[in-house]
Amino acid sequence: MTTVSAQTEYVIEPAVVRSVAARAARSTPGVARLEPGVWDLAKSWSRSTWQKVRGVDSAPADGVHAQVTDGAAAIQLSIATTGREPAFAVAQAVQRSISGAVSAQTGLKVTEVRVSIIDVEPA
Amino acid sequence: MAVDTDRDLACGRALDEVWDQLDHPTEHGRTCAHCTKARESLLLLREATGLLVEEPDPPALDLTSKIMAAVRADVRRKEMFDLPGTGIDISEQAIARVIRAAADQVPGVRARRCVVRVSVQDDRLALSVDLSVAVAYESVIQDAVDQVRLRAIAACEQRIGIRLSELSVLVEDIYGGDQ
Repeated sequence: MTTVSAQTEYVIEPAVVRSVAARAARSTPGVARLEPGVWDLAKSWSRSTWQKVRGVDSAPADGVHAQVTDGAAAIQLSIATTGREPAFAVAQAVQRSISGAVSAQTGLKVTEVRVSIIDVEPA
Repeated sequence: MAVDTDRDLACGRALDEVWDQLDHPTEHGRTCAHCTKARESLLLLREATGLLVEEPDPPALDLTSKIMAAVRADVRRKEMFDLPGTGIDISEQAIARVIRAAADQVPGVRARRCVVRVSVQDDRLALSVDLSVAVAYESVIQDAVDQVRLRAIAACEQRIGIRLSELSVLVEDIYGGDQ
């Protein structure tokens, strides 16, 4: 009889954190859209080209930045709000929903979620 | 194809060399920090432009508007106010836009420049705003300014969530007729 013991390690790439965070932010009430910059756009294009080649299609991360170190994630993103609710409260809700979603889905501890409010749409 | 150009990089290589060896970097190219950095940027650019070229015509409206939105976001990102202790910052343009829209709702008032400052008063965030407006020829200026003040206070509360503690309105022009 043999005992099989396999040690399984897994590493979570920042790209995963970015996608989870982007999705959580987009579905927070009061968020009109995420606001990627030019550099983010170029990066996401080059990423999607690469993924076309490999035949995978990953969730868009629209300018969400994530750093993962020692089981902890720090996240930064930019949003525009709808103007129907106070932008400040919306940004706080985004912080909460990202923290919740990222720690639930990845097991990482979320140390910081920085939210930049780029625009408030006319109500 | 190799054009001898200036030595662009700190390590003495030309950008063209990096470009030519993009897919097959030399030993130096793989280890040199300058070359690596340049190669990353070039790869990014090549792929991004490649994607644009492949895009079916007419040039996707969506693509153009995405680019414009990104450029606009970058411009707005240059002037951000940190809201201390919250992990949140907000662009001056976002605040100014809300205030200008509020002022424009007052009949006979047209908002112009809007300058915003953010401060902390009694542990609470507060906005102070300088707004210049033009008023219609027949307006009673005092009433118009009062209306602007009320609407600006309400808009800050409802749409930004930060108290407007100071608003100075400069009536700098009068426009005639309502066209």
